[in-house]
Amino acid sequence: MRILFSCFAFFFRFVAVVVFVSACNAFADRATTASHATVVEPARVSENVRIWTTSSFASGMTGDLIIRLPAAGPATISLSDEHDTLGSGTSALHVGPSIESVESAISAWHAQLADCTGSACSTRPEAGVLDGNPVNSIDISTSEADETSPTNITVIVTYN
Amino acid sequence: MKRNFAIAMIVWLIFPISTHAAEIAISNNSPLAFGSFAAGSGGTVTVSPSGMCSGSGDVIVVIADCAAAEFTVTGDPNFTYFIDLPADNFVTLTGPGSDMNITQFTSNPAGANGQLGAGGSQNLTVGGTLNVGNNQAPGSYTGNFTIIVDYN
Repeated sequence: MRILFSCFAFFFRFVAVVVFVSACNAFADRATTASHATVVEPARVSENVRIWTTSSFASGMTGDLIIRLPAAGPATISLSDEHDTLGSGTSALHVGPSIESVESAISAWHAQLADCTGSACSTRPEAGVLDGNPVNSIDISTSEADETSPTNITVIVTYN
Repeated sequence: MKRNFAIAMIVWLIFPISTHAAEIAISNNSPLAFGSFAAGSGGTVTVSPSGMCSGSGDVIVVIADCAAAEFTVTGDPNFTYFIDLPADNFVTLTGPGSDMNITQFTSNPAGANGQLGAGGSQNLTVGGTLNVGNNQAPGSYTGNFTIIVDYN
């Protein structure tokens, strides 16, 4: 009987130690959440770019433009105040340079769609607000800001 | 005597001694979103705890709909707690292409600087850096991660 009681006592002590250690960490809590990203594949349409230009732009420059075709929401890419006149429309094409060297050189741009017949085509051409696709030409006008930059412009088109 | 000892042990097992009236708890309100981007030759997309996102390398952030993950931590009012974030390269986003690892998880508050308000809760936001591969295949990538909070 004494041996049996000793075994019980040992068992209780062992459990007590385990529970005590567990109790020290009993208040931690954890939460799991999701993370997501979307990789888009740009359609490079540089061969379709038609440059309406001043002499400075004809000398060439390097840069990228990002064109966002109409979708559900307003454009969210940040441009300079001079160029970023988007945001109020819900069906906006956003044309903008992705590097500063281009942004500093371009003072205005026009983007035209094959079936661009809406008022956006004529009322806000410099902001690149369009309401259809596909894009078949892009007109760009520039200031005299950069006469020395070389090579061509690459245009990247992605849907929202 | 022996019976009293046994009763005391049972009581202790059922009601462990604690200095906290309430257990700390955390719940998720929204996921961590890295937005949409063109991968190019690769780079990173970083989302700060404030929800700002930026790309590096050849990555072009196309739609800046990034968002930090948001949690709510609850527990004893005014108590401090620490936040345990996932280690680098421990969390991956899987999709049509190669897995993309998330590194440099950051949070606000961070480390042991969490402190519950007078009402016993605090908002916690978590950001991170997504590592994008060269010519990462287009498509949607998803993954999960877990964070742990505990009283200091």
